[in-house]
Amino acid sequence: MVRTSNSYLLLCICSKNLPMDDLSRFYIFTGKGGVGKSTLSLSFSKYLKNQNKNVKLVFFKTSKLDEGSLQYNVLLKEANELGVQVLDLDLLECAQGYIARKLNSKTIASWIIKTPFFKSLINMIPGFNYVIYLGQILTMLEDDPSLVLVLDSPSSGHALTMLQATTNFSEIFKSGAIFDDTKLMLSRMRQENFVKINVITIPTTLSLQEARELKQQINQDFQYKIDICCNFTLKDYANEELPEFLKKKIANEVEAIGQNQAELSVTINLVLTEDNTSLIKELVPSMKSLV
Amino acid sequence: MSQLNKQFEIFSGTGGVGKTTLATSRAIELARSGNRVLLITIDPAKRLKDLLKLEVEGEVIRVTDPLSEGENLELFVELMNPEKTFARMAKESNAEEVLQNRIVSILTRPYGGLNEILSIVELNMNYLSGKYDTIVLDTPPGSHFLDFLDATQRIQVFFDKSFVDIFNYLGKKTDLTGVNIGKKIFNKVISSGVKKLLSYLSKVTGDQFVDEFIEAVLAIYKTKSPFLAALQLQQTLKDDKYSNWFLVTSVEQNKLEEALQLKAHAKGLITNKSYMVLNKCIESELMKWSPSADHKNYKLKETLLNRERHLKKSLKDSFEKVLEFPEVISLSPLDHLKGLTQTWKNC
Repeated sequence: MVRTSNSYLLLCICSKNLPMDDLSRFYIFTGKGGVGKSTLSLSFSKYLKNQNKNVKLVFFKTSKLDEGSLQYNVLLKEANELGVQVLDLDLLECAQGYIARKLNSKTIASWIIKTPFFKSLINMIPGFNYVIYLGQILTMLEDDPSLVLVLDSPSSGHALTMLQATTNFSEIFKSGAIFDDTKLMLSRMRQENFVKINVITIPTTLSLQEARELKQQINQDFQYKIDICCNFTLKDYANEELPEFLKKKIANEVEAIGQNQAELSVTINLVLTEDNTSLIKELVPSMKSLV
Repeated sequence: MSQLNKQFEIFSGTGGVGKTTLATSRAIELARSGNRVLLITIDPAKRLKDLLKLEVEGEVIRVTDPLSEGENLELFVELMNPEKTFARMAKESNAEEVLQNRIVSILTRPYGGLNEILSIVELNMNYLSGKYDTIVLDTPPGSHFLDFLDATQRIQVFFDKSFVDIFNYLGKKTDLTGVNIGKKIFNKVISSGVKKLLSYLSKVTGDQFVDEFIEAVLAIYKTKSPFLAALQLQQTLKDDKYSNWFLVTSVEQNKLEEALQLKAHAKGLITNKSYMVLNKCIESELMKWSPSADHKNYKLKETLLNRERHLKKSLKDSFEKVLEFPEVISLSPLDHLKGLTQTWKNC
């Protein structure tokens, strides 16, 4: 009896710990605008925080416009209320830090990033910012082995630009520190259980198809661990008393999901609340499926 | 439609809201009322392909009316392809050899980073051809849209005064054939600190890159005329005599904040005079439904209804003109096109 209950207990601990052992270091939430990426990446960070993980939510300022934007401020406020730490990376600070490390001089680095030549380099090679951001992220993950980062990435095109930037850059720079580092970045990104990409979509045929296209494009260079997650589903609200148009809407949704079943990992119900903070909290338990 | 069509009809929005389908239905409706219409899409997902059975990228294709088989319209469609646009620019500038440059060819890949800049160039080249009454433009979603607006800005930065001065000087002194000549003069012309800068930079980026980057800058500069011509376009796009802007969002995704954010950033382009298009409205359908207050459906109805009403109210506070498009509940993209075209007609 004792043995049985012990092994039962052991089994419980194992099954509880198992998903967390599968935890990746760097989670990328991507997909079209308006599919709930920010909300889900917040809820996901909160979920990991509840598991006592050392988690930070990363937000790229892709342009100076993002700073002070409504969306950015709303995100910060929500994160603050939930006790989720947010890391906002500044492009020029990251670049300066990188060059300073490489040349062993903060003075020269601050001088270089101010030159028109360097600015035009950043302007002309837009993927440059992603390589700088990624470099910073990877450095942080290496410095603190317990750290888990969750990236709320701006839009599907951008996530792809970011992932391909590392490949493009080893082609662009054939030697020098950046060349060595982008190669290093690529090999780190491709470690087992390092990167996990969650492609978020909504339950329409076109959106699901686009999510699959995005997954294919990302996978062209390397088979990252990718899940497609369909947000805002209505199917669990189905009942006989719904009006015809909602029944039809749900039937279409079920069919669209069915057509893409093989590629679809997770579905998340539309949450019936209008308040953001309680929405995020309600989503937290289902975030386990996005690990 | 009461709103007269303009030379440019630009659809921007928050992504995944049916923007491409709306732009396409608008183009079809305009062509059906006798206009010669070009539809350009720079949406990376290329959803138009599915709707119009298009297979070629980077070329203007004439299509038949997808809603009525075989009907001949003056309807043309182009799927944006940055490589092809740049190749065309190089050809027109008699500088096809620049396509050989390794860095240039990396930069003009679909995700290489020159997407938005080249889209503006493409739009302008088609505009200057004078072939179309209206060009309907489907811009990339979300932040990409901001990149699109920033593109002309970036052209300006790239060809900014110091750069232009250097290249004017280079243009006089050389025919831009030799890379080494280029680098030598480049070194001489920019401030004396440049030599030091390049030596530091080459430690970080590698020697070869510094050379090749200068070569790429020179190469792109050879195609400067279409870039600079595209700068002129921004003024035209801002002028509501020539342009209609449609900012699209959908009820489903409750992207009010993002829509208002786009508006705030697109100063001078998206104004109160722009059209706010709210897609996938279900309010009128929901109003016909009255589940009893103690049923679980009550909360579903109330949530959906309040969400839509709140969104509409906020949009009307910020925009003079809000166009509401009812949701087309169908799996067929063709049904969506039909439904939306009908709403354009009734607008």
